[in-house]
Amino acid sequence: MIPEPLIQVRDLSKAYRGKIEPVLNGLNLDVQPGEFYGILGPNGAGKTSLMNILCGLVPYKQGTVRVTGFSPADFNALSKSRIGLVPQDIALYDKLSARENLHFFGSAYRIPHKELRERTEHYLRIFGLEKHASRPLKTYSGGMKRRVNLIAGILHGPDLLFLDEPTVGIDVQSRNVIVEFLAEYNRAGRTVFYTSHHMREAETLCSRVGIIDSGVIIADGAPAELMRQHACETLESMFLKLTGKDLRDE
Amino acid sequence: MRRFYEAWKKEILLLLRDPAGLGILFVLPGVMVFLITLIQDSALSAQRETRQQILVCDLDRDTLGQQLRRGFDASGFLEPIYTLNNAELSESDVYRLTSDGSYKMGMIIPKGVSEQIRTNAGNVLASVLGTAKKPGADTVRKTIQLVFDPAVPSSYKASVEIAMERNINAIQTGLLVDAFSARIAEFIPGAGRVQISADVTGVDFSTEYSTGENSLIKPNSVQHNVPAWTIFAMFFIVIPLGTSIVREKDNGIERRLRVIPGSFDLSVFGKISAYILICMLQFALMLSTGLVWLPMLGLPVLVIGHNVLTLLIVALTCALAATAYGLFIGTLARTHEQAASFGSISVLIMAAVGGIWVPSFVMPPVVKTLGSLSPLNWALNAFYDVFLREADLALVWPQLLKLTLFALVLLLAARFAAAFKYR
Repeated sequence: MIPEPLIQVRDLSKAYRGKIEPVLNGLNLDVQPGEFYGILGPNGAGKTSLMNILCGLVPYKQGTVRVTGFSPADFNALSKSRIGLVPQDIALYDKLSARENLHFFGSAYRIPHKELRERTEHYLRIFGLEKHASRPLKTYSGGMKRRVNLIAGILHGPDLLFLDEPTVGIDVQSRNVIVEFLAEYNRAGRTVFYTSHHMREAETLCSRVGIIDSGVIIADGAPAELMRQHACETLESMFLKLTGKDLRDE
Repeated sequence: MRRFYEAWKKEILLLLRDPAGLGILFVLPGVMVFLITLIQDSALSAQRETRQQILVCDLDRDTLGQQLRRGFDASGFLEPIYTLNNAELSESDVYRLTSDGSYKMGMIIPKGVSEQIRTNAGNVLASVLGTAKKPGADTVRKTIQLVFDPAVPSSYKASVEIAMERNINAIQTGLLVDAFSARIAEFIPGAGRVQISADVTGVDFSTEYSTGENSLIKPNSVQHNVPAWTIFAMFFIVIPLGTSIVREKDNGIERRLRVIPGSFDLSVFGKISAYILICMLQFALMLSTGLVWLPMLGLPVLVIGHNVLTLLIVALTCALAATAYGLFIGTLARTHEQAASFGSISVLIMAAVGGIWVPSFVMPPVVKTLGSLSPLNWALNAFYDVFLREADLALVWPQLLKLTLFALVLLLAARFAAAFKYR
């Protein structure tokens, strides 16, 4: 029996106030539990808008969306606690230390005090940050901030993790730590929904990718399968073949 | 409760680690209250307590001049100067020394003015008794000339003119009465001099501040500036609060908080409670300034009245209004610059029209009307009510209601604006 999709999107359209062109244009998508789904697309294709709608941050008028069995408009505390979000920006307080940031976001998820401390120290250790955990975040390198940014999204152990370009602009070592952790996180049975411009990383991590352009999914499948279908050797060449080589400056 | 505590603690830590923000919240208003109170107090003292010098060129050398001198001594307001370098002042001295700003004012008493008053009085009496024609066109007129430094404010000039005119009228009346008395004595041997004073008329004139039961309370620069700059400081939290909200929007923290169940509202409550605490600390600091530090500089002690509970409620309501304003500006602003510049300029304008810098009663009617719409004016009036009028809640509730409604409307508007922006 096929399990019910954790994310189910049907005919989703979204246009922002004052904009003529819709950012999403009849989009359909299913993500099964345990998948590592990568959504790839050029700038302005609708990736972040789709993620914002799935997280319940942006309302929509047309189409149906169900995430963990709920419409985002009907998210309750339980359904929200099953979701984790790692925004593209470093969504942390730079005057607080890593530990203080994690305690604040962890306590917001109602993680019991003692358990929160244990989890915080556990993740700080895994991501090699324990020695720097008491320093204000503003003294961290970009890679260190990215790692703390990721921890803040997974402290409560979400079943479904949304990652918006989690490795953008960081050093190779930090990227490696993050990529290895995400692969492990997914192997533990959690679902990951991920956007990136880093094609090789997506090829390595994702069990399935969807190519989005002009608000619709134009290709969807396992990376190897898609490359075979489009007779391309890499995901990047396939991406360029499907979306074109024209610049998409926003 | 622990979530709320963590949200509150986070805000406090962020503030404590922001020296510029702390400077704006605590150092700036503290310095302002010291400086402005000292300046205003010395200016008021100069007008109130220092005798103003007046050059007098007395060409009359008769009763009017002598009585004016006694009047100057009795009032304590003006100090007449008749000689400079052991030489009596001439008319040209008076004009020269006032026009070059050496002295603020001068007076020229023309020759024969006392005698002229007596003569004119005699003529009036003679016409009444029918022994002479009616006085009128042929009455000789003399002018006592007041000369002012061109830099003297017109309000100050007017007040001196009124005082001098009153003084001279009284002297003229005395001279007239003397003249009448002398003529009456010619007809009724043994009649004494007619006396006109409060003892005869039974009318006294007295002024005081209407301050209720506490007679110690007098309006002064401390009583105005401490509450005024406390309110100003409270509303200036718009800068750190507004910019912190913009920062959270900019760097994705708001997105993250909105995904966490209930945490966005919790974070907002954490902010509100933290900033209300900051406002109350500002209030305590400013009160201590008025009670302890300013008196050390020789300024009057701040009198806070007896209604301490009412005072705390007024401060708390003011803190809520200020916090709501900061939250509203932060929610509407798209950039740090917008939040900081619009927030600070709007508070400066509301303070200016609201009577924070200059008391409302000296403002023109249009500005006074505008000022009555300023929440800083409502807050200042509430503090005045408690400090100067010994008011309890029954008297200050209209101001508190306005401040509370202002806060609620802005909080609701901020919430609506935050929800609307993603559509």
